[in-house]
Amino acid sequence: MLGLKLRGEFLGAHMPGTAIALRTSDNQGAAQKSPDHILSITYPTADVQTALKAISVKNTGRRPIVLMGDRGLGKSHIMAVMHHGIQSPELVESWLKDWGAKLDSDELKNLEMLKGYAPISEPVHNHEYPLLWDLLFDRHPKGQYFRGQFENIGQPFPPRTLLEKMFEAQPTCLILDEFQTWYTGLPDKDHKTGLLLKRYAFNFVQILSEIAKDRPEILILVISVLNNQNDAFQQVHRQGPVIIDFRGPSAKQDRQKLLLHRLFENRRNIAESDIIEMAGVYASERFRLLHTYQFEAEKERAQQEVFACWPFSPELLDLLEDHILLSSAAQETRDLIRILAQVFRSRGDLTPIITPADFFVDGESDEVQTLVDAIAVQAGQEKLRQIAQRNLEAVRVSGVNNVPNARELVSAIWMRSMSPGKNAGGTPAILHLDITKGSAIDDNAFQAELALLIENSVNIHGDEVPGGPLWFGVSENPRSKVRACAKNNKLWHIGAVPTAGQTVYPGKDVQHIRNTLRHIFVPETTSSTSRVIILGPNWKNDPWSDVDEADRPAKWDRPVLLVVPDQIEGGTTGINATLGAWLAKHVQKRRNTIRFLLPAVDAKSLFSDEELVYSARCSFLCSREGWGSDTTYRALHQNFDRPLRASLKTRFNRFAVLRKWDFQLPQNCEFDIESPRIRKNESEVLAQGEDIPPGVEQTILKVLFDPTEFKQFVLKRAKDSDFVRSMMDDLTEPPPRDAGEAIPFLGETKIYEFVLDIAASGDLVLNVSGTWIGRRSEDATHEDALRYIQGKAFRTGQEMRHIRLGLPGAVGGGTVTVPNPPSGGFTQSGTGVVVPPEVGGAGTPPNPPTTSGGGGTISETGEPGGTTGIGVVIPPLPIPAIKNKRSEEPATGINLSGCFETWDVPTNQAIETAWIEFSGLTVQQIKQILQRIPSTFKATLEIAYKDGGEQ
Amino acid sequence: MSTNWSGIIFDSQSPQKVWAEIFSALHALSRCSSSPVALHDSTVIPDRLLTEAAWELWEAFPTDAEKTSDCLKNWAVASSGKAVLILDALSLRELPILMGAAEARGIQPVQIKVTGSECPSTTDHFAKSLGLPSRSALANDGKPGGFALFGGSCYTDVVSLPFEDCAVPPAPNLVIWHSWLDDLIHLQQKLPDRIAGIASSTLQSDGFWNLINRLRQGRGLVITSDHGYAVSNRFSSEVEDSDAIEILRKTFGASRNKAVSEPWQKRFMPPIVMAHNKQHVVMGQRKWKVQGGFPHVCHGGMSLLEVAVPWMEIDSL
Repeated sequence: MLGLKLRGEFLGAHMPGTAIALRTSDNQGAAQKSPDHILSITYPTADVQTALKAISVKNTGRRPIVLMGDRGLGKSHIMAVMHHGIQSPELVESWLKDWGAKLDSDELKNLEMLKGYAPISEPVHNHEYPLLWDLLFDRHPKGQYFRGQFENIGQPFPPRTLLEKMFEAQPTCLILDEFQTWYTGLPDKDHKTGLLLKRYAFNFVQILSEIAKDRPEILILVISVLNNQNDAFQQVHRQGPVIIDFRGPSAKQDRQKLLLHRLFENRRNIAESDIIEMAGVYASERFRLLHTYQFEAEKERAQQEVFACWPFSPELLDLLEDHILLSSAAQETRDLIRILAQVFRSRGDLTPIITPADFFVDGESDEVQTLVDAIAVQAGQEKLRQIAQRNLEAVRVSGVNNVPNARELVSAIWMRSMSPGKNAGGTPAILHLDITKGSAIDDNAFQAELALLIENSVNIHGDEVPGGPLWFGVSENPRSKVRACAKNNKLWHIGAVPTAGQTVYPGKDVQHIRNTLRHIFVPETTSSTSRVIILGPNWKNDPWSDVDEADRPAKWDRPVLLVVPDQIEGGTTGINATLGAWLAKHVQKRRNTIRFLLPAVDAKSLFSDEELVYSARCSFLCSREGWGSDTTYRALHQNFDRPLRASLKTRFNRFAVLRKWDFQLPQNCEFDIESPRIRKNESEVLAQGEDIPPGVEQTILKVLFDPTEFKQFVLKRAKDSDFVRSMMDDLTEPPPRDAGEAIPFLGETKIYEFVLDIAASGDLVLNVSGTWIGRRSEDATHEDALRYIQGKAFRTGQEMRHIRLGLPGAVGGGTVTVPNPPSGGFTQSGTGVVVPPEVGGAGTPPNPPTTSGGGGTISETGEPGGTTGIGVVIPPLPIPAIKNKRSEEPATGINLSGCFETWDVPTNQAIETAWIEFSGLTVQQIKQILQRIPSTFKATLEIAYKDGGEQ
Repeated sequence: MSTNWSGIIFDSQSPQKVWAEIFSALHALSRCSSSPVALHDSTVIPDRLLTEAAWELWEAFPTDAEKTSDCLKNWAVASSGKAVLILDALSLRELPILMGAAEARGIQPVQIKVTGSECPSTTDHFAKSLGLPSRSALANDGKPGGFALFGGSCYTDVVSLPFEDCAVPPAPNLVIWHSWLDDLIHLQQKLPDRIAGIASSTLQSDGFWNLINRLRQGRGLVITSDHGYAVSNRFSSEVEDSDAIEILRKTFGASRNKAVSEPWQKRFMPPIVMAHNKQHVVMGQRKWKVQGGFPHVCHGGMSLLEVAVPWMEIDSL
């Protein structure tokens, strides 16, 4: 990668620890070796600068110096630099000068180290010296002499004057690393010598820090502590020390530069133009994906962030630093350096920029293991890795070819899943960026890829929130598990055999589609006039073996709505031929009672639509028959069921009803094809879902059923005095070829209602249980007649079938209810022309057909003498000039006024008679109405009421 | 600008001081000289003073003058991020060109000074002073163990490619020795004006400064040279004594220096030749008639424009 080179120490087979020890027994400590080494790996962070400034000439008000911070922040490193700053000030000055030139900082260039001090550095936690003054006497150039003096005094504790004298003889810089660890580990009392170690230390530290504050020209005291929660720090803290705590405003950028400087020997020697060329794609994609809402002007700055971090992506550093390595087990920068060095070693030459996706979850290189080890304290991280590996394996074996970046994606998701707390996981945009390297990845391609990946890996969670973070969980993602199972065709084949640990669901998907469809079409709350039968995949050849016993043709007792699963090719002709042949082959009787519900023209066949089958499988698995006993899955049922139902609901929008039948040449059959429509909210809409069966019936009734033709058919039957049974049976079968077109079969009840209606019009009489029932002469209106006939002749089932039809004229006397001679019953209103009564032997009035038109009924003939109400009886002579208008049904006054508009009667037209009829009113209400009649008008009043009929 | 050469050369106490002052005077002279010819002309006086009156200063030159090799050794210590570009035969004539070009590109040199070559003023002796058997030993990072710069931890190369084609590896420390100007001199030795023209345009070209910038990437850079060169057809003195010519021809042929085969007979006063590094070296601007003619451009001897080279230090990018 542009010749970027790791420092030699990171290139060996075993990477050394990056911890810095000031002194070691083999003289390899950072303070013991030549300053070149430590200086070459030091980047002058703000903290290093603060430390060196504290021991520079310019700093006049010198105080003790305390480095405070957690493990791995670089305290020992800074101490080593300070040690050399004291010991070889010229070297450190020239090093500072170098960096001052590089960083363009005059302050650094001109920093001058204090000279003349002797550095004494010691990691005191090694407990080489139980008493601090032993360390001083041992290592101070004049130590031997002052040790003699001290021993001469015979005190257990060296007096301050002695110490001051010693430091005057040779000014000293005392650097005590791991001070807190040492101090807290001190026993109160050494049980061999009886020395009060802890108390002495406490006291001695106080003296040293006081000298360091009062007489900085002879002593500089530097200590390092982990935090401020301890006595050792408190003693020094009283003197107002310089505190270096690694929390400066530039700490983060510093660390980034420090990392790159520490890791690579030539990071600064890579020209920016080369880096831009290398990581430019990533940088611009990053701006596009992550900084969606920022101005273009920010782009430069955002891209600069990428180039400053190269070869690592800023996201990787953030992720490692701010999330993963926050784990208490991790050693901050120390682990970070190791991990970054390792990942660079294994991936550096292969990728233009290293992102979290380069930590291959299934890789054999070290970085991943180091990472996991670094945070191994957190439960389940090792397990999480195995899970991620298994998922990756699953994606690979699933044979999905469209996930080219599966490894990178799984790795990136896994990396991001290791963050503790709620931040786990990465959003699709971040993941998109993670796998973007040398070239941009198309958004759509990425979406598709990610969706495929999620579908095939059962442990990825979080996909239910669009754009939300995805993460690996130890538990399986029930959603993905369902999907994975649904994807696996092998489990659903009809002949699937269960193996160990693998449940199979042969044919359950098809069954579930049929069940769901039936459930949609036949809701439990309403009962349909037609029987809905969902045909199976093998409907063409063997339709009846896989339907319910009750659904087989032998059991049919009402119209049948057959749901045809497959798309029938060939347009209308194809439908005619296919359904005709099918009908001839598979249905022996009641062929005319069938409506074929057909899929929409553009819909795929029900059982071969992969998407539909897939969602059916998902829905099935979450249903009670599947895994629904587990509440996790049951909770998902709605989610999977809804799309399935939505897809099924809109799938069928046509039905076919037989019009012409030809048994010999079934391909010549003809079908009427219509869309089911249903009245809803005053308008007619295309029926969907549960509205389809009633929609089909309504549409047949409205569009295909011709009452006139039916009437003719019935009257013909009546002429033969047929039973309703035989008429019904005839209707269930289509007429043979050349015998006309089939009358749609509406269901026995509906048909019988039409028969009653014909009877009410007076053209037909019915013999119910031996009594002829037809329109009576007193039935002034059709409604009255119908109400009467319905009351008398309505039967169902076998009773209905035994009713005989007859023509009014053909019926013998005696058994027919004969209307009374004109007696002024409460009948048809507004009767116009009254024809002289024609009392026939049959007793039923010979009613010519009534025709309707306009807003009212023009009755050309009326009932004999049936004219009542507020009106005038006209002499029984035809006066053709008189016209008669009547509103169809009771309506409000306004609407009745509106009738004049529809009748087109001129406003100045003189009305012979006006006749307003009320029914069901009380006397009180009638009186109110009468009071409103203007006094200039005169009218007659007639009321009819039953005796004692009080309300 | 007139320099008080006799004051510098005769009044100072120690040879070290004299040489330091000569170098700083040369530095000032080169910065304000208008052309290579003018620069040469203004060195005639000090050169003649040195060879004809103060020749012991030449004798002291190898030990007392500040030499390029020593400066490099002090500067190129084993800290990271420094590069050395040795432009073979770069002389003070080119210093103003370099400075002008740097200024035009907004580059502010950290330090500019004049340092001295080895004695004799040849590439080989400079290479030896850096612990190399010869210049070519640096080729393709082939530096030997004893290389004195950066303690050996650097990438080295000797290149003669056009500047824009030179590769700069991303190593922290670099020593690149470029032979362009020396090659040019040997190619065009009869035509010093051509050399000056080509050198001037090349040193101001983008190709050269792109290389400089690539070298500066994260590295402090020193541009210097192993030796300068003299334009002998403008030498101020021609040896005319036939005896002397005979001896010079026999010993040096048409060169400015020769390996010692037998001791020099010291019968000339003032002396024409000094011996150092087992080499006889001609002092001052002296030439003589030889078969085929004395080369118009030469180096190896002891004249100010041969031994004085520019030292230009530039900050890292």
